[in-house]
Amino acid sequence: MGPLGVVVWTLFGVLVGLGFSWMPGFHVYNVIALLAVTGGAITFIPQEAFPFFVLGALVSFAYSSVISTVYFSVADDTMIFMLFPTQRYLVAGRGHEAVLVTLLGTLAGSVILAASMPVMPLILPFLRDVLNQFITVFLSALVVFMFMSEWLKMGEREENRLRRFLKAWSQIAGGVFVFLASGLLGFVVLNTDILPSSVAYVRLTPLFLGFFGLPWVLVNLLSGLPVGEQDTRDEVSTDWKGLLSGVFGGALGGYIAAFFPLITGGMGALVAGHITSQRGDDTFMASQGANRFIYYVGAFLFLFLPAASLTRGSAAWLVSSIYQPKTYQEYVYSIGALLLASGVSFIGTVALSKLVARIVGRWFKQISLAVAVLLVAIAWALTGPMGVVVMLIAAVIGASSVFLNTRRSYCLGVLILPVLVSMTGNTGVVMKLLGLGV
Amino acid sequence: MSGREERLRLILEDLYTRGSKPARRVDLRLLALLSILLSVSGLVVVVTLGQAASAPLVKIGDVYGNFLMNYATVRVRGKVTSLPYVDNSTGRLLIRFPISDGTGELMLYIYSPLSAEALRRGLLPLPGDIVDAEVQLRVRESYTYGIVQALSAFRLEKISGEPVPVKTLSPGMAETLVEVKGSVSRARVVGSGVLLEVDTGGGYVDVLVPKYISMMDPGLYAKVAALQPGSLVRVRGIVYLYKGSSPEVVPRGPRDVEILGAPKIVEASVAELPGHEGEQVRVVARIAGVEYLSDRRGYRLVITDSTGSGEAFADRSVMERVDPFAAFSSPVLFEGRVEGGVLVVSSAKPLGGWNGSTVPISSVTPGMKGRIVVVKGSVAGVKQLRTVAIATLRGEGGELKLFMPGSVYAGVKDRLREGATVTVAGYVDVYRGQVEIVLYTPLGVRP
Repeated sequence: MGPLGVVVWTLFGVLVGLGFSWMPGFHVYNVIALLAVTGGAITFIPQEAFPFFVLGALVSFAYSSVISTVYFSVADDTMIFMLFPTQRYLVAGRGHEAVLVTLLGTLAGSVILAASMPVMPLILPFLRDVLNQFITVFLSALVVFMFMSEWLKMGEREENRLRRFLKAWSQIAGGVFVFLASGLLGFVVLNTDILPSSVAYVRLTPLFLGFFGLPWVLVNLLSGLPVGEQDTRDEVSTDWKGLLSGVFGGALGGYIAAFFPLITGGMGALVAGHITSQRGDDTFMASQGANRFIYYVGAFLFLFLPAASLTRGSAAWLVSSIYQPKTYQEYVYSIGALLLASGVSFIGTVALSKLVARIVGRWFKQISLAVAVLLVAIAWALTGPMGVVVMLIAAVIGASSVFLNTRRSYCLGVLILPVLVSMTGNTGVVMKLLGLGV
Repeated sequence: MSGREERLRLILEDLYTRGSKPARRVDLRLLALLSILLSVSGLVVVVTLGQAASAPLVKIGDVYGNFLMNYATVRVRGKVTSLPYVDNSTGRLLIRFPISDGTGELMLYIYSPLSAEALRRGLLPLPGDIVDAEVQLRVRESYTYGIVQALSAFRLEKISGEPVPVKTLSPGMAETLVEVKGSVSRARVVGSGVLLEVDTGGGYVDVLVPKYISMMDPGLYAKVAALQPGSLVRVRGIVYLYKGSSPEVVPRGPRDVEILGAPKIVEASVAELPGHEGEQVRVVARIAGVEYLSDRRGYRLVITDSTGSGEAFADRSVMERVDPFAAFSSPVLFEGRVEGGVLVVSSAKPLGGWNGSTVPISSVTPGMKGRIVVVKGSVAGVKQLRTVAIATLRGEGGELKLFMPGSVYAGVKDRLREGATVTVAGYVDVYRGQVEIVLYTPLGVRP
């Protein structure tokens, strides 16, 4: 495929991404999965063009999904740490500004990722060889760190020792409950035929829609958050030092998440945030912009590294099952496509943000309701009625993380727990314990 | 409300709601309780449904290359079609083997720590065994494979019954359990393990002792790797067709390999060799001639002693260790087995050192073809070709070509620099009418 084909299919991906990703709860992975399930991906997109199409869609998702986060509060786990700053900006009529600050971080993330790509073929194989055998240790340590990082932080103001004790431990206990519950759900879904094997690739979709999509719709409907008129001027109130600090921390978290399997942007940001000790709403938002971009797009770009043999993230796994980029030419094209898609996505997202800023105040609840219907429809279309049941159970667990005032990252137990069980060779033991299959 | 609380309320309102009040108050405690109850109920439902939804048995042909089946947990059942590949080079033991169910072939992987447990329990599939396993599928662009999920969901139906004693093997015996007993006529380390040629008395049988035996019993594997021709062994195993046509016996575990005794070696003269057919012998003789046999990747030797002359064969690895300087001056102690009247050499060791004598270059003639000689001179030039190197040696009375394989040149190129004075030892050969010395080992060049 020549450069013209790369440009055309990348831009087509950007168009699809921009068209869907601003919608709350509509993850670009779902779009890709829908295309794959309906056969669209392999009938009208040439196989060797598919990676570039997905790259365009992922880049535009990393940009435009900030709109749903800022205006509709629906987020995937990677957005958890920016919810409160963006929500504050939104209710203060500065939603568009929040979008712009985040986009600045995303743009910086694009440049950093593109600049780092030429050295990746040298670094990644080495890192992979050194660290691969310790993945189980890293994952276990990260889970422990997640619990430790919210260690007893709310009990100081209670009246007596018992109340302080209960209050302090309630948040951690809530986190443990959510982690184990989501892990158990994930274990059953991944190790049985409760969702049909014929659509195995998309069986995580109802789980993720349930954990991260539906609960925020529910919260939106319950809270009735007042959203007033929005200021749509292209101005931001921030300083370069804070932005750069945020971008550095975000990029670090993004690389951690992109490199290690199962670790998502939110978890990477948690680690990087502690390492770089960041403060301030704008710093946070810029940090998350860079973080998400490098996490989503960086992980996928590893697929283009001819000698690295790294497949990270759902998109990379799907694409590698259809066409695995093989040449250095495709690798060089991918860097160009990344920059092209970033530029177009930035401009498109700014325009979309202004459009959404004008309608969000009037249609907040209606859009939330429509999203709920849309999420159920996606789950049904991809995995049938059982997928909807699984999604609803996941939604209840996801909602419990909100109501228990704990991190929604714990819902990632859905993947981490089954994988840890498998990596330690205990799948059979747990299955026997639960009376499953064997 | 106290003044402090009122001020706090105003600050919070200004910060979060700009004066507008939330539409309604939500009792989070009730919602939290409700969400926990519903979560637990939902999980009970899912586990109950999961108990009735075991992984389905699928045909390999139906799932191979189907990217929608990526990550599907399914059951597959099929016959093992090849030897398992067992690797521990990364520190994490990996076992992989292909199975076929008639509709297609699928590679199955058992990763650490399950692999170590599988090895410990003897769950190592061999060709002909039936495997029924729950696996998670991985579908890539060009191939599909399955990862074994749990050993409790991994059933191995081994080829069973009493092993059939055999003297020879035929392709028709593939995937049967046999027992072979005899003396080792040849042992060599190959990529997949140690390959033994066992003389059963009624013929020869190839036995592969795979590398995985070294992970089960390192001591035994080391003994097998060091087996000398003539050692007595008994091996039980499955008949596997190497490259689809060459039958060899493959033991399943260490208990299937028994070393029954060390080789018996007979002292003999060259003239007595034909009388020791099939036996392991020791001979002291001089090398009178050397010729490379490219089809056998080894050397035909003419050996002589006071009783006469005879023929021997030594492969390259044996000859590489024979110092040509010493062999030029001294007799050599050969050990090997007599096959068809020819001594197949397993080791050769010169009994003395080099006496310092050399042959003038001008004296090296075509009539000396095959003889080991030592000459001295200065290197007039070296030409390295793709797989060989040719040097020119200038000395007493003229010039002489030195021919050497690339592997030998790699070991001597520091000594064989242009202008350097060297002493070389090798055998005389004639190529296109021109006499040359072949350096068959890096030991053949001295400064």
